[in-house]
Amino acid sequence: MHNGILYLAGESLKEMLLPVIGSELIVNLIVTLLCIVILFLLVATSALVFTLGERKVCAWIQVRIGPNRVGPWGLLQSTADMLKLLTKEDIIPQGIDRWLWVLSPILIFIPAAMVYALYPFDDGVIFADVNIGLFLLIAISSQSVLPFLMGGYASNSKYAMLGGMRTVAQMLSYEVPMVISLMGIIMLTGSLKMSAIVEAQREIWFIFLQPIAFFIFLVTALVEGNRPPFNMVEGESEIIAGPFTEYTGMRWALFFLAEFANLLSMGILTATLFLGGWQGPDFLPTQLWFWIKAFLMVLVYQWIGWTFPRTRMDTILSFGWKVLLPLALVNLLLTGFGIYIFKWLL
Amino acid sequence: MNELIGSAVFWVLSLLIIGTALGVVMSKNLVHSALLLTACFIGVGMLYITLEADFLGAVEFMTYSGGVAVLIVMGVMLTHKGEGIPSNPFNGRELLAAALAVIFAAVMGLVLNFVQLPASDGFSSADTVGDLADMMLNTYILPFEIAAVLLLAALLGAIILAKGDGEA
Repeated sequence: MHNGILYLAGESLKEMLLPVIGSELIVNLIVTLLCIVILFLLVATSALVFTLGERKVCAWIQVRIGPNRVGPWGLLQSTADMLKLLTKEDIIPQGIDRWLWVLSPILIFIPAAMVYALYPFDDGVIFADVNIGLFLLIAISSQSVLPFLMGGYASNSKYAMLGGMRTVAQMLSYEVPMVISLMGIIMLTGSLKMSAIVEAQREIWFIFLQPIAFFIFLVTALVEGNRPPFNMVEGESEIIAGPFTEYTGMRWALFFLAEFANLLSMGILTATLFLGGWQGPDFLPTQLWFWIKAFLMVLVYQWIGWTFPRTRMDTILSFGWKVLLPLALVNLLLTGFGIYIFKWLL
Repeated sequence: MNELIGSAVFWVLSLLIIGTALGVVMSKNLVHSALLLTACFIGVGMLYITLEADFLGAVEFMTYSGGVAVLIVMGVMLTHKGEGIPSNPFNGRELLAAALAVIFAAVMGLVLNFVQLPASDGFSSADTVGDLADMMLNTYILPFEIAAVLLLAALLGAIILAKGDGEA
């Protein structure tokens, strides 16, 4: 039986609703819709928190103060930002590919939000605990390449086009080492199910069994999530803002909503795959452990991002293919041998 | 109830797949064609998932979407004509195309009418990945390896073609 707090809350909600409504189908439908709303709220809240949090963390790392004018300690900065974005003029440049241009910021949000359905937030709290969990997760998140390219192409601007091309180059190249590094985890777990991956870390976290995979995943996640120091796609000093160059106001904000959703995603995914997910010592509830680990990983990603200078496009591509990919393959081989030796020893 | 939802999903997906597939061949803009192709593949992937072949559906999402992204980049780079938008080359071979389409439709019709298709017994494996892995890496290891070698050869060939004889 599961005993996550949210799982128990959901079950008792079902029990309360059943006598009132009567039909089990409708109750299940209501609870499912409620879960979807909660997931979307989570994504939206992450954007709200990170618009301030990102700047504060960045400021601390660079020994600055950061936003401190709006509200106490700059806490209302996100609200001010949102109001500003809402009141901005919606500029539609001439000579664009209208439909693709409009669709791109909307489509980019879909994969970023969809992966949240596959994260095990707590014991039993996972929206879709499917058989092919991890693989489906990678398949969905790989869909975010095309909207970037769409936006870059449709903007009819050289900077945007360059950014779009860079997205394809870097995201597709780094997907390969990422998938191969995660293969070690799948081999150790013997399943692609997200809940099974968390369960397999009851004794020992995968970060200790798969240190090389953890390193590769750390780098590839930064590249896939378009985070500094690998945010070649935006590369402000070279190509203005890449695919976002021609967007203003709320359209531009949608890109950032997706980016912050991705940042939280990276934290959750790393915590789930390498740090034992929601599991932890008993003195804190499991749900709290989950968020502590996830936000700690987000902090690590921000720390890396604001410490190192941005890399160059050609070096990051050759690093991906010539260093990370062989390393991932060696890790796969070592894991295979390791499993056999472990079985032989027992 | 479930039957109704199932067939509704099937019809919606079929409309999506056929509509986008038509768009692929009729669009005059190469990039639009390629993007519609992705939409078509995503529809096909969802169809697989409704048929409980979830792994195959995810593979469809993953490989084809990435493939299409590369296709667009190549398409834009190869067909960009100076200032204009990249275009799909149309040639006036409607008659030939129509004849081929009629032949294809006839063959499909014959197949549907006269071939006894093996009906599923309604049993779907809970662990699609494990069974597939067992088949690919145990039962059919030889064909799998042959396909892998073929792909490797194609990969090397592409590198040599792209880099030229001297550099590679």
